Amino acid sequence: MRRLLALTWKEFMQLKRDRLTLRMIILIPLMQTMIFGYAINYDVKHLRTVVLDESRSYDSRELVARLTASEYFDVVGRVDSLKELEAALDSAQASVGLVIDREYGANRHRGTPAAAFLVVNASDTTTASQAMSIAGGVATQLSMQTLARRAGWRERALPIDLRVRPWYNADLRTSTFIIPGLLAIILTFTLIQFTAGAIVREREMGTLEQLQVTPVTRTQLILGKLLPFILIGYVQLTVTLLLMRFLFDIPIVGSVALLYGVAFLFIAAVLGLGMLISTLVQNQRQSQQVSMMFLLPFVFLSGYVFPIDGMPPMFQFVSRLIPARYFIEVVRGIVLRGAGVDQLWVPISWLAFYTVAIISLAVFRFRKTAN
Amino acid sequence: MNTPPPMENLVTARGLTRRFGAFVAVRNIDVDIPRGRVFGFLGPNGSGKSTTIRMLAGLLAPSAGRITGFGGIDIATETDAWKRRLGYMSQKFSLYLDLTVEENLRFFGSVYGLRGGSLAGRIDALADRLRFHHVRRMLTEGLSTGLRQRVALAAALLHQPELLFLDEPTGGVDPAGRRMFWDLIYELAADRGMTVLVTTHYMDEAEQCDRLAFILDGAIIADGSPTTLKSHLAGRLFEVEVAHDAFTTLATLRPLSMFEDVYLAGRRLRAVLAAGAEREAIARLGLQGLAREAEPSLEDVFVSLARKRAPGAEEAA
Repeated sequence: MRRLLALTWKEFMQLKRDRLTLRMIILIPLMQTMIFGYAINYDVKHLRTVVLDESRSYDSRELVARLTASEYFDVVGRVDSLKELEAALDSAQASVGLVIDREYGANRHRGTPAAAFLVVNASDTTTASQAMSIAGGVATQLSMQTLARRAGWRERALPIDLRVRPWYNADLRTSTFIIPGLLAIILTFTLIQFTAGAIVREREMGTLEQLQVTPVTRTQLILGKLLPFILIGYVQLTVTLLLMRFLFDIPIVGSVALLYGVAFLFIAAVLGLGMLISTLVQNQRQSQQVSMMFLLPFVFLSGYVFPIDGMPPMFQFVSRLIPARYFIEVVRGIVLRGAGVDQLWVPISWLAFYTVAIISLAVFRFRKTAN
Repeated sequence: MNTPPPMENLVTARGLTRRFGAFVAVRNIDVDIPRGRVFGFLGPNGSGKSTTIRMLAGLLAPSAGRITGFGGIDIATETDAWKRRLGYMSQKFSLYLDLTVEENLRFFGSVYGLRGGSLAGRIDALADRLRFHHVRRMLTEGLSTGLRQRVALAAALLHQPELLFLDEPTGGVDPAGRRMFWDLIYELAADRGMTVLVTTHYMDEAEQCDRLAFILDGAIIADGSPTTLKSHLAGRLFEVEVAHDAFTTLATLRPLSMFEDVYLAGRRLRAVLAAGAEREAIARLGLQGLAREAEPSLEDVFVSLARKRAPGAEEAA
C-alpha cells in the first residue's frame, strides 16, 4: 500500500511538472465540447436559394413564401433563365435552385397538376436530404389544402391526424445528441495517449527497468500507473458534464451516481487499451500513431456521430467490438431518458466484459514484455 | 588486489542459460560471487554479460538453471526477498528527469519501504558522501553525466543493499570521474562489507576487481583474480621495438605457428609465444630488435583466450 502510494505520488509530481499535459487535461474537454456542441449541427437551416419564377403569379409567390417561412430556405436571388440558375449553383452562390413552371398559376386554377422543381446541391448529403424533405412537406401540405377545398372539407384538420412528438430531445437539437456521446470520445482521446505515452516514456528512460529491480510487484506497478489516470478521467468527465448541463442546458435526467459508476468501467477499458498499446510499440512516436489508429473507430463506429443502424452489417458487427459504443448507449440512456440499471444492464454487461478482457490482455502482454 | 582469505559465496548460479528465440545469449554458466568482493564481468558488447547480470538481478527469468544466495534464498520463488537485498545501477542512470534529485531519492527510498526520518537521514548521508548536496533541489534533467551517476548510485544505495549491481556504470563519464567513482565503490564495499557485481568493457576498470569472469559468446571462458588470469601468459609475452615498417613485420610474423598472436602496441610489437615453441620464437623475434619479456595486461589475456576459442577472430575487446 505504501509503495502504491509512493508510485502514485511520483506520477502526480511528474504531472505537476508537465504543465502542458496538465493544461491539456482541462483544455481538451473544453475545446471538444465547444467544437462538437456548437459547430456540429445536422439541422441545416437558411439554405441559400435562387428562384426562377416563370409563372409570376399569386400562386408562385405563395409557394416561395411557404418555403421561406419554414426557415430552411433563404431566397438570396432571383434569376431569369435556367442558365443563370445553373451558374448560381455551380459557383456555390446558392445550394438550392427553385424553378416554377410558366403554367404553375394557371394550372392550379384549372385544377391540373402545377409543376415546380427544386435543384439541390447534393454533394453534401445531409443538407440535400433535409432540403428535399422540407420541400416535399411543403408541397404535400399545399396539395392537401387544395384537395380539401375542392372536396368541400370544412374541418380545420386533415382526415388523418398523425402527430409526431420528438421525445428525449424535444427541440431536435444536435448538441443534445452529440454531447453525451462526446464524454466517451474525450476520455478515449486523452487517456489512451496519456497512458501509452507514460509507460513508453518510462521504458525509454530506463526507469521501468529500475523499478523492476525494486520489490515493487507488477500489480503495484500497473496500479500505480493507472490510478492517477483514473482520477484524470474523472476530472475530464466532470468538466464535460458541467459544460453539458450549464452551457448547453442538457439536464441529466437519470442517476449521476450510476453515470460515474459506469464511467469507471469505460475509463478502465481505455487505460487498459493505452497499456496494451505501450506493449506493442517501441517509442513514443509510435505510441501516438497507434493511439490515433484506435481513436478513429471509436469516433466513427461507436454511434457517436453516425447511427449504427445505418451501417452495413459488417461495420455493425465491428461496432459491437468497440467499448465506446456501449458507454455511449449507457450515457445517452442515463442523461436523456433517465434510464436505470434495469434498462441498461445489457450494454453495461458488454462494457464490463470488454473492460475485463482488455485489462487482462494488457496485463498479460505487460508481464510478457517486461521479461 | 589483495584478497582476504575466507571466501564465502553470497550468490551462486548453476547451469544458467538464457535463450531469446533461437538465439542463445547465455549458455550454461556457473558463477560464484564471493561475499564482500568486487566481482567483474568483462566482455565485449553482445557477449552476454548484461544478460547474465540481468538474470542475477531478477530482471530476466533464466531459460534454465538456478540462482540462489543470501543464505538460501532462491530467486525464482522468493523474488521479493531477493530484490530487497540488491541495489542496481545501469549505464542509463535511470532517474526521473522531470523530478528533482530529492524527489527521486525520496521516491526510490519509499519504494523500498523507507520513510520519514530514517529516509531523510540516509539521503543526507549519501548526499554528503557523494557530494551532491548543492543540487538536491534541482531537476535531474539539468545535471551533468557525472552528477547523475552519483545520484543514481545514491538511489541504488539508499536501502543499504548487500549486493550492488553496476551495469557498465561509467558510460559517458570522463576518466577523472571514473576514477572517483571507483574509489567510492571501494570505500563503500569496504565500509559496509557490500558485494559489488560490475560489468565493464574497460580494462582499467577490470583491473580494479577482486575477481573477474571473462565472458565471450555467452560463456565464461576464464575466471579468477586479475593476477591469476594474467599468469596464463606468464613467460610467454614478449615485446620488441620496431624501428620502421612495422606492418610488414607484423604480416611476416603473424602466420608463423611459433606465435600464438602478434600485434602492435604503439611502436612496439607484442607477441604471445606458442607454448612449447618459446625458444625458437624468442630467437625469431630477436631478428627484429631487442626482445624483452613484457608484463601482460588483462587485454592481452582476454585477446589470447578469445583467440584460442575462436581462431581468426579479431580483437574482441
